[in-house]
Amino acid sequence: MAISETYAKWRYRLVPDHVVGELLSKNWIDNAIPVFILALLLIVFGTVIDNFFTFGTFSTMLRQMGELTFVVLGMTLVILAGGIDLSVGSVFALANFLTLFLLNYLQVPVMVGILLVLLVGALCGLINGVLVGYLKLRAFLTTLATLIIISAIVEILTFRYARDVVMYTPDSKLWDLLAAGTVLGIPFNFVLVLVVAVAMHIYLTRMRKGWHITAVGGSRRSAYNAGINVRGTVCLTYVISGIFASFAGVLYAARLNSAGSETGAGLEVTVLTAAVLGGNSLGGGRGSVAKALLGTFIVVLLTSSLLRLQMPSGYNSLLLGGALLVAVATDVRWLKNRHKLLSRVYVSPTYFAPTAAASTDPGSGSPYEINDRLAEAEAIGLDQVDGAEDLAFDRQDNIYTGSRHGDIVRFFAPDYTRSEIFAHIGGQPLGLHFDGDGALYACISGMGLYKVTPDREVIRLADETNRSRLSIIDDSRMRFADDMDFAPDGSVYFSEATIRYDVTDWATDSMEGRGNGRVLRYDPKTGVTRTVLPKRMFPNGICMTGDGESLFFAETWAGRINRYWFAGPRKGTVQPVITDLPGYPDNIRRSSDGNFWVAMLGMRTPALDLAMRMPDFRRRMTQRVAFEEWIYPNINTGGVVKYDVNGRILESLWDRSGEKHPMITSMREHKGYLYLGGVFNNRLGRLKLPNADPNFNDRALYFGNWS
Amino acid sequence: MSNSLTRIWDALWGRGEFSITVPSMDGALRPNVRLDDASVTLAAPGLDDLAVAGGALYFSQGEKLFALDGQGKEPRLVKTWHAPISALAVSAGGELAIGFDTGGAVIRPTTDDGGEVPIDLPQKDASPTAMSFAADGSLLICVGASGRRASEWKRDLMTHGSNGTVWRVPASRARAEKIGQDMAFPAGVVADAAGTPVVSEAWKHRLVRRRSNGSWETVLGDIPGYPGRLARVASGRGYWLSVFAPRSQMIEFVLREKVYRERMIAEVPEDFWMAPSLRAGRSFKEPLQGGGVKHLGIHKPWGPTRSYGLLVRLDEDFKPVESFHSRSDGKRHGVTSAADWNGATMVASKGDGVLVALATAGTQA
Repeated sequence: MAISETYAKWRYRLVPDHVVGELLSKNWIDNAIPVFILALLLIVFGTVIDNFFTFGTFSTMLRQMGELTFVVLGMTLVILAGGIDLSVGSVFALANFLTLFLLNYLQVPVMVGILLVLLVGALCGLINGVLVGYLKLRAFLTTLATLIIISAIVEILTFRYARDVVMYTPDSKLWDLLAAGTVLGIPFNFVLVLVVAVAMHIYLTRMRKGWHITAVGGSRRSAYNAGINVRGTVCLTYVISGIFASFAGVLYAARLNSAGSETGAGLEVTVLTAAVLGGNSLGGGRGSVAKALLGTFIVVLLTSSLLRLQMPSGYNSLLLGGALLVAVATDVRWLKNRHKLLSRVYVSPTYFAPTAAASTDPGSGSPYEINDRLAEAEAIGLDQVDGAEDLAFDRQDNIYTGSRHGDIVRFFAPDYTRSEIFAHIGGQPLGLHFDGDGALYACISGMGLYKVTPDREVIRLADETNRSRLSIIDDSRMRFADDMDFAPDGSVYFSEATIRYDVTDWATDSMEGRGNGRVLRYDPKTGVTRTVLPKRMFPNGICMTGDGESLFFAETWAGRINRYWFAGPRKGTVQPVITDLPGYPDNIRRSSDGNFWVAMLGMRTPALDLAMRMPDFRRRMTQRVAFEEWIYPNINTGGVVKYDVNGRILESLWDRSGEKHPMITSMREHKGYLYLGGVFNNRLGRLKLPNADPNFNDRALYFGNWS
Repeated sequence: MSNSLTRIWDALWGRGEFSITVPSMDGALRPNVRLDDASVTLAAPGLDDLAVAGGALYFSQGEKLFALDGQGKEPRLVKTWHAPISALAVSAGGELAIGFDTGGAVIRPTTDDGGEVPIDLPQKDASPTAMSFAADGSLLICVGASGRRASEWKRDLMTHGSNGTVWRVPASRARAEKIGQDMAFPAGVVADAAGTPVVSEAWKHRLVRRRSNGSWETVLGDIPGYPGRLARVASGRGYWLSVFAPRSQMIEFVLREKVYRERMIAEVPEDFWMAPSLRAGRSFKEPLQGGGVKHLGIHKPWGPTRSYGLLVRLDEDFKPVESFHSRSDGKRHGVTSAADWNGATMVASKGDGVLVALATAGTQA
């Protein structure tokens, strides 16, 4: 093996590339950049400032955070709904002044005073909300105007009452608690923040109204079309923002008890920086409470650390402005490129060394020697079928097959010229089998395992399995149920070809060379489905061996057929029985002479087999070359191979030209004929088998005297 | 320094010289099925080059040279040589030039078997890919790659060959003079109205004309396929350009993938390479591309393909005027030569081994 290939093998074994794509498809990945910045700042300040990592440092920071976080949470809500609230600074200042005025000057009871202040804050928010939400004024200019007006009011009031409001302080336990209290060593106002943050997180992620806010921010028009009260929702966010800003003002008043005219000046920039730096998108629709907290912590860390470094005062604003600029730029670029990046890295090829394929050359003496025996097949349903992956027979010999439109189609015996839609399921049916009661079991891509009773009632049997540990994406939902068979105990073993692709681009899975599929078991007694064999390469055909304790399953892209023991002394073991198939195996069915038929959906090509050993090459190909141009498995030529229980090849049937049956995805022997199906073919086919049992019906192997 | 950095950056993102775009077939090159609609004159597996002299159409097929006269349907065997014929040309004076795949070329009269004279080429193993007589009686010869046979074109493309040469044999039939070298597989030649040689430089997808100072200028670039032999239209106004294989994004990509390409050449039989071909899809061991998958029995004509049929008519300035196509699902792939004869344009589809006759009103003399 070449050095480069050894490298590729280990590189792809140790670094699982597909994880990157799966991470990028997660919503919480938006937090990655702020977390990274935070970690970086902690490292930098931890090194530069002595005694940085002490309780005192963080306790002070948390108390400062208390007030700021409330304002940021309000701002986050407004941004989430697609707006912006610049008036928070002046509302904060007004609340500070009013609190002192009510409690100190008018000596109103603390609780009443606080509620009155919050009411005024809500009123300020309501003015913004009505102007922006209902009258549709621009959020930026409107809140800028309210900012100026409210600050002017504060200035006038401060000029008149500045001295009066600080003459007295209320004697109240609540007031002292707000000012300097702690709970378990944590500043009381930060405890309040945590309580409110948790409540708001639940509101935003688990409650209807919270979802409406995100929906309005994500797309106003879609939200409106979905019946959401867009105006009311927008208005509400400003009201909440006003309340939060005024509550922060109350906390500030309690802590400092001063009514300077500088109070709250420039607060809106700090708050905006915190909200955006945390990863809340200014465009609306993307954000969370966690991001708001993260952003606030970063901003407080920055400003307080600069103070401790004794930087001149101007630097603080300079840094905040810079941070805001960086955050906005990152936000825009990230939003714009995230999906591009995701689509670029989703197909993630890995190293796979295919075994040498057995020869198919004429005259080679190989059991796979090419021939044209399938060319003699007569057509059934010519130009009527579309997506006939598998076929099954009922007691009256009618043929059932699937269609791309999500139907099960029935062709009537004996001549199969008439057909009808037997049942509509909605997803494309793949593997089909009748059970002993005459019910049709079907693997439905995108949906799971289904059953159709003789009365055409469609019953869902399984659509989820256990989520595997350590998986990033939720792999419990079934994406690609492919083929199935009945075990003697009545349970159903079925394959899920891949968990990374849908039926529309199933062949793209071949580019990855990774075990993306699994074998599952459905237990009819409990109705529970569990994964029995994870990480298999496009597990496809499933067929009982007949010994009651093992089954065959095909791993398509590996060109391999395995035997799996689900019971008996060898329970749980998997043994490859055919490893050098010249093509890609699909469904496996029983033959009348006690052997097995396996469909070849396509043939292996040396150029692709080589590419499988070169994951870098395939990765660049999937990124740079249009997908129609990618090297594919040759699924324009297929065939049928018969093998015995030990994996010895007995015979093979091919359609070399690919005129009639370019691909074979399934076949079933029935009463002396071999019936053929192919998911992309325009027909089913049937071929008279010489020396075959003219009464053979594979259901009899499972359910005794079936017909 | 900055140049190599740019290269690394481009290689990482697939930009600049690492981008793999292929010009689209549009304008005069808009796809049609006119080659497939043309009537078959005869089936001749291995049919390669065409030439017209004295009312007869000469065509090469392996080691054999045949002639088809104006009335007869049965081709007449002119002669069988020891090696496959790789190029043909006929002079106004009735001389026939024949080049061999194994190297070398001869000149003989069309009329009888006598007087066969070898051409004096300084490069002994030169395997001509195309030949053409100029009006002054001199013979122009393209040699696709030094040290390679003309039939080994696929290997030359996949190894980025660029040591082809162009020769001129004076009317006196003295020793040939090298007029072009280090060219990326010259595969077609014709003398323009002024007698200046114009050559198809296949691997660079362009036609080049020799300047008086000996250098070459591009007269037609960005051809969406690999240009091959050139021939004058019977009327004298314009030329036929046979494009023997299509370019495709996937193959452009493989051409830029050194490691894969080298291992493919070393480990995979040539017929099964991811490379252009005169006729693709003969064996299931050939690579298939996603868009080439048959759906409901239909092979999409616009799907990606490694072989194609394309004949282009150029005007006197070598600009495309009209084109004749056989698309992905067509049966006239690998067009290697064309010649106006007997009131029609005869086209050799080497990929499918057929000689077809196009009714091309307005281009005849």
